Parts: sequence; C-alpha cells; structure tokens
Amino acid sequence: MGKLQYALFTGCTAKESTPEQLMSTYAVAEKLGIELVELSEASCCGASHLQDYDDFLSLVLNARNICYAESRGMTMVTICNTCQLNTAMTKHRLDSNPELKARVNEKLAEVGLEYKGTSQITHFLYAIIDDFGLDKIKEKVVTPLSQFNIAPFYGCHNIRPSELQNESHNSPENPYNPTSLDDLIIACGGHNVDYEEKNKCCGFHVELQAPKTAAILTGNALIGAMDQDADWMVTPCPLCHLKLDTQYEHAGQAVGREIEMPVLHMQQMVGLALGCTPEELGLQHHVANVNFV
Amino acid sequence: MKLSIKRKVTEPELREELVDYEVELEGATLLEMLTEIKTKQDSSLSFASGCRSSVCGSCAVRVNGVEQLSCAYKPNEGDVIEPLRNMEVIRDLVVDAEKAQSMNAATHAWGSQNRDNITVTPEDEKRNEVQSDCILCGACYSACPVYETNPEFLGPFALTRAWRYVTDVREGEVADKIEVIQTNGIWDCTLCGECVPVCPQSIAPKSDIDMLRNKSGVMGYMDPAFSAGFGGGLDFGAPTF
Repeated sequence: MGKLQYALFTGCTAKESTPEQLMSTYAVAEKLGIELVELSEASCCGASHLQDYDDFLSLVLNARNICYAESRGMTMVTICNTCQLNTAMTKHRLDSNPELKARVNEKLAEVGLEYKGTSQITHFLYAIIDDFGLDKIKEKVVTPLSQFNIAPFYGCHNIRPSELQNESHNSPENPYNPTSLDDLIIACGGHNVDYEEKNKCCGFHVELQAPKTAAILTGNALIGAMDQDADWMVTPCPLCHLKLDTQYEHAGQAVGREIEMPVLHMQQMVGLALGCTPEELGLQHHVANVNFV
Repeated sequence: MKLSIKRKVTEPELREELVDYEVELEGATLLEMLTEIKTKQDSSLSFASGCRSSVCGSCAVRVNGVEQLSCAYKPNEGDVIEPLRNMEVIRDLVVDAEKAQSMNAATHAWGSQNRDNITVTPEDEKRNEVQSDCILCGACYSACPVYETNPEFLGPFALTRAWRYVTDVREGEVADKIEVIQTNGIWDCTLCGECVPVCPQSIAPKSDIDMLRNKSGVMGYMDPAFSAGFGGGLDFGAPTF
C-alpha cells in the first residue's frame, strides 16, 4: 500500500473551539504515516443552518470546498460529522442531478471553479478504518487501552441518512446499531461499552433554540455511559464533544445527577494507544477533568 | 419461534414485564403471530391493528428497539416486542397516540380557505405526494428525542403534514401555517434524523422541517439561534494555543 493522502477539510470548530482535535488528527496521521493536505481555501460547510435560508448557496459553498480536493486529485477527509453530512449530501445531490450540477457550476464559474464529482468524501474515522485498516492500527498500538471501559458516542450526522453511508463506505454502518467506533476502541485495546444512547443525539443543534431539550439530551447520553461503568467516552464529532465536554455540569443539573465523565475526541483515543503524549493530543484543554493519563 | 412481549400486568400490582411466547407460523407477519397468540394461547394479550396492509398505521410497535409496523414485519427468533415510546401505554402494546395526533391540529395541518381559480397540475401534486402518504403510525414520535424531552414539541409527522399543506398551490393561508410552527416547532428539531429510517412510508420529516425553516426564513422569521446574536446563549469558548 502506498502512502495514504487526503485533502483535509478541517471545518470551523476544529480551527476555533476544539483545536486539540486538529492537533490530535495530525498527531495520529503522523503515527500512521498518512499525509494530510489542509484545504486552506475551504470555508464553513453551513453547519446545518445555511440550507434553511438558502439551499442553493449551501450547495455552491460545499461544492466549492469539494473543488479544492478535486483540484489536488485527492479524497476529501472531514473531522466533523456535520461537515461530513453537508459535503457528502452536496456530492450526493450534484452527482445524481445533472441539471442541479450545471446550475451550481454556472455559479462556481464566477470564481473560476468547476465541480466534477471526482473526489470521494469520507470522515477520518472511516478513512483510518476502511483505508488504513483496523488490523494495521492494532499492529501499531504501543500502549493498549486495556484498563479502560470506553463508551462510543457516534453522533447523528455520521450515521444518518443511510444512503450517504451506502455511497461512502465499504461496509455501511447500520444507523440503529453502528459498530465502527466500537471496532476502533477494541483495536486500540480498550473495552467498548454498550449503552442505549450511543447512537442518539447530543442536542448540539438546538443549544440556542431549545436549551432545556439540548441539556436533557446531553445529560441522558453522559448518564447512559456512566451507568454502564464507562471510564470515559469517545466521539468522532467535535460538536458532540463540545456539548458533552463543556456542558456536562449544566446537563447534570437538567437531569438531576452529578456527572463526572471525561470525553475524548476519537483521534485522542487512537493517539493515546499509538503512544502520543497527552500534550501532543491537547488533553489539557478539555473542560471535564481528564485525570486518567 | 420465541417472542418476548412487554406486557403491562395489573395484578398483584401494576408493573411491566417481558413475557415469552412460543409460536410456530412459518412466514407469518408479527401481527399474524400476535393474533395467533391471542386466539390460541393468551386472550388477555392486547395490541392494536386495523387494515393488515400497512395503510392504517394503527399497529406500530418496537421490535428490538426499532419502530416497525407489525403487519409488515416478519419476526426472527427471540425478537423483543415493546410498545411505542413517548406515549402512555394503555395496555401491553396498545398506546395512547392521541397527544401526538393532536399535533396535526396544533400545526393547522389541513386545507384552509382555497385560493380562487387555481389549476392543480401533475407537477403540483408531485411536490407533496410523499408527505401525503403519512399514515400517522407514530413511529417518528416514538423515535424523536426532542418529543421525548419536550412533550409540547409539535413533532415529526405534524410538521411533515404542515409542509404538505404549505406546498399545496390551492392553500390560501400559508402565512398562518408558518406562524403556528415557530414555537415548539421547526427550530426545536435537533436535525438528528432519527425520524427518517423509522418511517414505513419512506418520508423524511427532517427534510420537511428543513424546508419549513427555509420557507420561514423567506417569510421573515428567524432561527432563534441567530436572533440571539450569539451573545445570549451559553459560551462554548474558543481556546487559543
């Protein structure tokens, strides 16, 4: 296998609110020998809000981002579930609708770009599982996480709707019973914790509109993991991470329980198993105390 | 084949418990097996059904945690059958769906005063054909995490139905239909998509809610997340390195 190369679409969150996620992405990529070329020209994906106001603008914006991966001849890799949904959904719609694609390209021509549909789009979670391979990750583990019970939290936008999974992955995830993150935990030597909320919503996208609903959903997820004796949680989505990590006290108040639950980015978990230091993974930047390393 | 069915037992005190049944009916649907149990083994087992052909929406239950129409689902060994969530259980698999169905009234999901001299083309009909297929089975309300935490949330099928009438070219009161879905409605949806895979009619309420948000924006309403100006909400922080 030649060296894996990807065009990295960081999204906004990893650049601003969760820079430790970006750091740990690069740290893991270096350990695995994966080359990431950052799409410095890329903009926001619209964050699942823009399309409510201007669907066509949302399509043009995401198609523009994909163009920069196409011009490099690379697969685009995302590190945020909502970025993945918006870019992959744009690709799905444009690739299946030549008329819409032509309209978008008419707009893109104003900035000298053309969307062709030549680049695949995948989340970093699936890039390391599908392309690099779980067995090879296992071989590279130097610090097995065998003393930890780790609860996976998948995040909605990576597992629903199914048609994007079917297009993007070798073994599409079952939205009712996703397994990829569990498999990755096991490959890192950890014990995966099964709990009801693992494929549920964290509440992020209604944080401002319906804060009570959002806090209860966050609390339910954290307590679900706690009650199954998880030592910590892991998620591939920085938005889920923001909710679960920075809002745990508020969520605890909403559901009437005291919550103590470190939440790691998926990249930080893999990084720990591959022998990265806590500093390289930015573990000191979490709000919930990461006291086990 | 063994089926475990969640029953609401009233004696000696009210409690819920899983009861195992053995039933042999090759190739049968879950509804046929439930009927077999009721007629041959245990007449006290309660469940709802009507058309037996996925049209009336009255027989939705959860199988191994996933919403299904029992008249369309073919059981497997050891399946666990439970009533829908987020609705009061009347008995065994029978739930009170009235609250969810009342949301159709709350969203004014009906054809109001018609506009004059409107011609409905086949293209116009196609625009809301899928949304018109909703059978009100309640699977989406059972799966919805927002309805679970906020019982006043208008919910998936009522909002899908609202979109069905908002897109009807004959509809004369679109502004009213958009106004009544602003509170406990479209902006409260987390966009998680739980309502999409559970729909037996392949409707995507999440997409309809997205379209209603779009329409609301065009008509001058605003997502409270933006009207809060990002200053009134909780601070996620932006650490720098």
